[in-house]
Amino acid sequence: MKLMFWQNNAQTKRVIQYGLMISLALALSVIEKWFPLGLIVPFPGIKLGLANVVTMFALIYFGVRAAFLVTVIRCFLGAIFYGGITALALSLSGGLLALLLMAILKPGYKRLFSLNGISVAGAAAHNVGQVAMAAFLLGNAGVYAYLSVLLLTAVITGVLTGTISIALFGRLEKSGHLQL
Amino acid sequence: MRLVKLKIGDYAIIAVVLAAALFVMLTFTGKASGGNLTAVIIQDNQIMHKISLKGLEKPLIIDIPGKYHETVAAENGRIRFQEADCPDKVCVNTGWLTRPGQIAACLPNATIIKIEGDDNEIDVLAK
Repeated sequence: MKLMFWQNNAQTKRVIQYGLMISLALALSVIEKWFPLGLIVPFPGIKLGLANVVTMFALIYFGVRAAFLVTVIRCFLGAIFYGGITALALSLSGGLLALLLMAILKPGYKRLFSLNGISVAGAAAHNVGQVAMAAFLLGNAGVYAYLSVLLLTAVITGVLTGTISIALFGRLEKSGHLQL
Repeated sequence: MRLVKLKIGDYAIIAVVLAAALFVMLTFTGKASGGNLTAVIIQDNQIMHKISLKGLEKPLIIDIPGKYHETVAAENGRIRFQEADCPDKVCVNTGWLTRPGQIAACLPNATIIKIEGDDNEIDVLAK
């Protein structure tokens, strides 16, 4: 009996692709902890959301299923490396709500929305999901007050990661490396 | 070439997010400071206590009698159900009330805490 997790080249390719995306997303979410955004805006929960670049990449070039897998696995691994169970609940609720909204917007990509808009929507949904989960965990609806500041920064960080994504995806498409 | 490229839908998304931020600001933080905060404890449709929460020097613990036993804790600017031996604990889980219009209720014991403020703008928004 041979121990095999996947049987053919297509599956091998997919495992490598997903593995790369997950590790990249995880690395980005660790790296962005080096940027102390909290010093500029002293507020809990503010971050660049660089991992969303990978989520959008997975969503647009591989589909919702891939983006879902990448998001969920990234959240679990992140919780093991630096978070914990609370962080897991917060990142999952934020990440999945963000993915849901971005998946809804995806059909309008390139016609109505650029990656900037999708990224802002994702960042905002991420904040809403996180705050809703925080309110649930704390049993206090008062945390919703944080949402106004978080949504304002979501526009800025969303455009930032969106612009990064536009530059990156454009380059990848031109380079011919995006043979999927 | 512009650095940030936005399509028509992007402007719409940004407008919606900014509007949501404004809405949250008006709903949740608008009345957090200033004005009077009066907590009212109502049991069986009768006002049992009225407490002014602004500038409350030391925490206040109030026992609520009835079918179930409950304690209410009031501090400067906030009030909550601290303990309850009712089965569902919805009242305790509601947490601190800090703004006018907020309500915590214990249905098994027919007890309600609500916060009243100087005006009812929050109530209008909530409806």
